Amino acid sequence: MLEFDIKTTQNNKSYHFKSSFKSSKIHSIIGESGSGKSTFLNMLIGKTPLDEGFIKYNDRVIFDSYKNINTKIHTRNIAYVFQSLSLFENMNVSENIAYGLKDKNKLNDYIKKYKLEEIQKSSIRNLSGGQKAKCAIVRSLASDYEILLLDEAFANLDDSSKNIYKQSFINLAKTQNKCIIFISHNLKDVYDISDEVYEIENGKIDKVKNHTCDKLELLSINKNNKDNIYYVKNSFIRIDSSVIFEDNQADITFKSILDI
Amino acid sequence: MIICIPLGYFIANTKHFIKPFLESILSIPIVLPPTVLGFYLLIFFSKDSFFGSFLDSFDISLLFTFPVLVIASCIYSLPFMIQPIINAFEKVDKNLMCASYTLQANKIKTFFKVILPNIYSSIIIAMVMSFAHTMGEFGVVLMIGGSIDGVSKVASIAIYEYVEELNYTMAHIYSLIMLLISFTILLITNIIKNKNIRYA
Repeated sequence: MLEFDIKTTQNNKSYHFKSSFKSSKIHSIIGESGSGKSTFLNMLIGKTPLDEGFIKYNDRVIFDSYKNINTKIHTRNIAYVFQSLSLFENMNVSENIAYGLKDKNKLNDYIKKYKLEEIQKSSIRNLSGGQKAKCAIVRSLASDYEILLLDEAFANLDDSSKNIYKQSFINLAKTQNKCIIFISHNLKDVYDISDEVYEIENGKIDKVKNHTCDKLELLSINKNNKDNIYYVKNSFIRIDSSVIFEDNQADITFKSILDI
Repeated sequence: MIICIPLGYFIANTKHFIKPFLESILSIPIVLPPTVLGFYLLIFFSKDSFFGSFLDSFDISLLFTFPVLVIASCIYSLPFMIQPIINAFEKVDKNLMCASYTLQANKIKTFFKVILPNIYSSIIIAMVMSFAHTMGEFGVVLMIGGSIDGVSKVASIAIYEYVEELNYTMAHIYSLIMLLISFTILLITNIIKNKNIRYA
């Protein structure tokens, strides 16, 4: 279990994140742009300095300001797919994936498993956005980690690739006891893979609870949302699309909520 | 290069109060007249100074020799070498370094595998520019080298002396060679720079 109670101040904005994330689960984090989602991940890996608090994974102390413990980033066993992907352009795809791989004999297994054979020798500069995203995700998966952080990792992926990686993350969490933290603005992706969903707002993190309300403003309306899953205030709900009006308002009653 | 790369990395990444002092000291040769720098080096290496008398106890005298020209040129050209390297280190994407650390690479592996390959063109430009700058140096080398034939006479001083002797033919030959070398060096620098911009 990942437990944390951490505080920092960045650009005159205070953040205080306190919660615990279970291993073997995928925890998604949603929130408006600039709410501090990436800052939260950067605090976990040690990129953003913390004012005080602690981070623990199982019995291993990663950071504890009270005991003056602050482990170095490379010993935290936290893999991170950056929003900017941050691929090494002086290396090709294979070399990027092999960078954090302890057993180099497994390199081909990763390349085959994630269907990267065609681009394995390609320069990073020649890849499309989607190919770069795949390379960055596989590079992190190939490293030795206990916690995996994904910051908008699916942003450039097509639907079929997304489904492959979604299934991989679900399997990794369940079979290899990994703790996965997933940031996304795409609520369908969040709904598909999450065991638990959290929202960051006003510098704090809160678990999203399912509840019902009347006449709420819909925060997200996807016209092609076949499943009619919407995120309304602090809830994921499945509603009858006939209650949605053009002005992003919906008359949601108990009758129109199909499922939570 | 051996001095400038580690020093440049330190200056680019430190937030220590010593940083502006270090940067100012290293930039002094840009603003200081070469004769002033030459004068202080002359004092520093003379037998009356602590360092000069220390060397003298081993029967070593560096003044008016080729090695002291090399030392003086290194000091004189230091800002031209170190400034592009500091700028390049400062421009390296911090997320790249962080990505390397999250892949369990320590600072040494990150430095050699990620950071250095990202700034190699800046290092080459810095080397070429400092070499070109050293080649045209006049004041410092005259002060501590003394323009001794076959020992410490450099092209820039030789041209000055040929002009004084009204030997314009030799002055032309030396000047033309210097011009061609300078142009070639600048051309190489710009080719590297443009190649770097194209792929960035």
